[in-house]
Amino acid sequence: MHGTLPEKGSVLAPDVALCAECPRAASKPERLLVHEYKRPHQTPIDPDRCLLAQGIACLGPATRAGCASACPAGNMPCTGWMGPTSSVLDHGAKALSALASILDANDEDTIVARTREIVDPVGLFYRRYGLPASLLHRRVLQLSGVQPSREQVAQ
Amino acid sequence: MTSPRTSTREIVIDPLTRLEGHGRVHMFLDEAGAVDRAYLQIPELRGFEKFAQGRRSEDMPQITSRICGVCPMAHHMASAKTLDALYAVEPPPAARKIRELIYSALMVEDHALHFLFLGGPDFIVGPDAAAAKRNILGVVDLVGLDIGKEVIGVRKQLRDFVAAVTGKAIHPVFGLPGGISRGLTRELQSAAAAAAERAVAFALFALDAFRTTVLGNPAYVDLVTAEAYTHRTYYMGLVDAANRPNFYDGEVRVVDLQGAEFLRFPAAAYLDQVAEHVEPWTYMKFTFLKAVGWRGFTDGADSGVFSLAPLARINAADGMATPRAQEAYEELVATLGGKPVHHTLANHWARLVEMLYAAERMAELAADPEILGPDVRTIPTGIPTEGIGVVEAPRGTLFHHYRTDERKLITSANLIVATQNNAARIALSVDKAARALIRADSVDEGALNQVEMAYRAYDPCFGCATHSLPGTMPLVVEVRDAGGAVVREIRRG
Repeated sequence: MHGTLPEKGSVLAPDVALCAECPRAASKPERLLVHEYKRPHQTPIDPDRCLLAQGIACLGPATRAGCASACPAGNMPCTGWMGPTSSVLDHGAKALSALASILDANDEDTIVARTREIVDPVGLFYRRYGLPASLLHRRVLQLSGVQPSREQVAQ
Repeated sequence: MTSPRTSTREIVIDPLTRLEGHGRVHMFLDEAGAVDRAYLQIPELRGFEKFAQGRRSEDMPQITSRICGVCPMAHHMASAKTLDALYAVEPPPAARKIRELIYSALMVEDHALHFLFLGGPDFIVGPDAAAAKRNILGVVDLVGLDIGKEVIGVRKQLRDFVAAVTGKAIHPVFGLPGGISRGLTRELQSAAAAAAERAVAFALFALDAFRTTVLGNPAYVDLVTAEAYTHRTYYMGLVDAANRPNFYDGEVRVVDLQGAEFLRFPAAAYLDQVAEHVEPWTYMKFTFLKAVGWRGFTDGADSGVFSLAPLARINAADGMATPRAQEAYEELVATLGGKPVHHTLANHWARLVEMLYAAERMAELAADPEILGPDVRTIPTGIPTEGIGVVEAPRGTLFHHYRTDERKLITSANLIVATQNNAARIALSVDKAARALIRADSVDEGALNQVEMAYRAYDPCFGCATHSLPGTMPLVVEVRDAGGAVVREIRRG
């Protein structure tokens, strides 16, 4: 007890992505490519290998470290519990970007097919934590001729 | 809140303390100053069933565990079992046993929480003791620092074990349709055995403490068996094939006022047997037995009001599945004059019998060689449509019911929580205790606390992770005259 409190607004966690402290980090490939994202209940999960390398949508690359990798330690993907690092404006957008950038899909048909496999994008990328503070501000974009499905609407 | 009848006086206890969630007791007095009717109101509304819609079904164990921080594992487990039913998959034997092992650990630490922190202080420190003493710190003052450390130590060891297996003690990540996210290592098996051994010793100690403190004090025995805390209702609990309580799985058994089996059905038949009644003065819905019907807030064989939680589970069973818990059960039944036991405050004793059973069951499972089996997942393949799952939460039978679309997203979720099933009897208990104990000219803190003891015995969870450090929550009681003017005000906190 020194009476020296951290500065107001401090986040008591390292300002790096969860992958930096994940015990599975060594098994994360140099060039990570995911062919399809599988839902965790539909595939066996290796308890030692990088979850993304197994095609599980883990939010580790977009999420701040500091939770002792609780979910990967329980053999389930990171859900973004700790929020983003200080350099990220929107946690869900960062998660979407991180997972999209490693998707092994180059032609439009494959990209559309892979995108359709993400059945609950708001639930997946924002999970239960970041939506109220996101840049979406409860807005729904109306694409020409496409009715947003229920799960695309931030409720 | 103002009284709808301005000519009457009212007494309000708000907020209530040493429970899970929010609540208040509103007592209306007649012209003579006696309680005409007391209402236990739940002024909070939670939206989990709504915002589960559109979410991935496999996320439900993690979403529903956020309902409350006291027994999130109960919702996590009920949800995982509902996913088993939804996807029509059976977990492998090791997964099933690990789930029950973890669930037994939860039961011990949650029941210990209630006995030492929530409900127990009313007996250990005393129902009329100063509010500032009627809490865990007052308990430690009385029983000594070493026992206080053991209480905290045994709970910590159990929670550390649960966290090591499930990822997190508060918000576990291990429940999946058809199993769990990973199996048990030999190290974790040893940790489970050690925690279970300590838990058994602690449960035996707690039962001894109950014998000395409560049964050794004639005034407390009178309190436990007082008519003010007695209701004759139906009782519900999950039982195994031999009619012994099982917290993880089994069929729902309901016994009547004489203890005879009235209903026995699988979880999936729940909606055929139980319906909900709505009142305008609370967000709580009251469940009742369809076969009997809703006859208002009254007990007796003609009223469909039923009860859950420890005493109800013991009433609904024919014995306990482990040897020392069976001895403790027999002692309880013999001491209180046979079954069913209708004295609400006997819940405290029944809870300790259950704590011993859960600890013994944990030890049995930790010693089972099959628990180290590497196969802990049955991967589902079909397209689900509907599933219902059940567990015994520490505070009573808990059902989850989901429907899904072709993408396996939730289209509807119905959570029928323990305290909702218990709500009508709890409302009856508060009303009866208030009528017996409160008069306008004799309202003091001890009497008000004895009204609170009527709900606290059930260990209710009003659905929110808001907690108060006992003895420090503000309480204002206003006694008003027939014209609405405050004639007396009692404040604490």
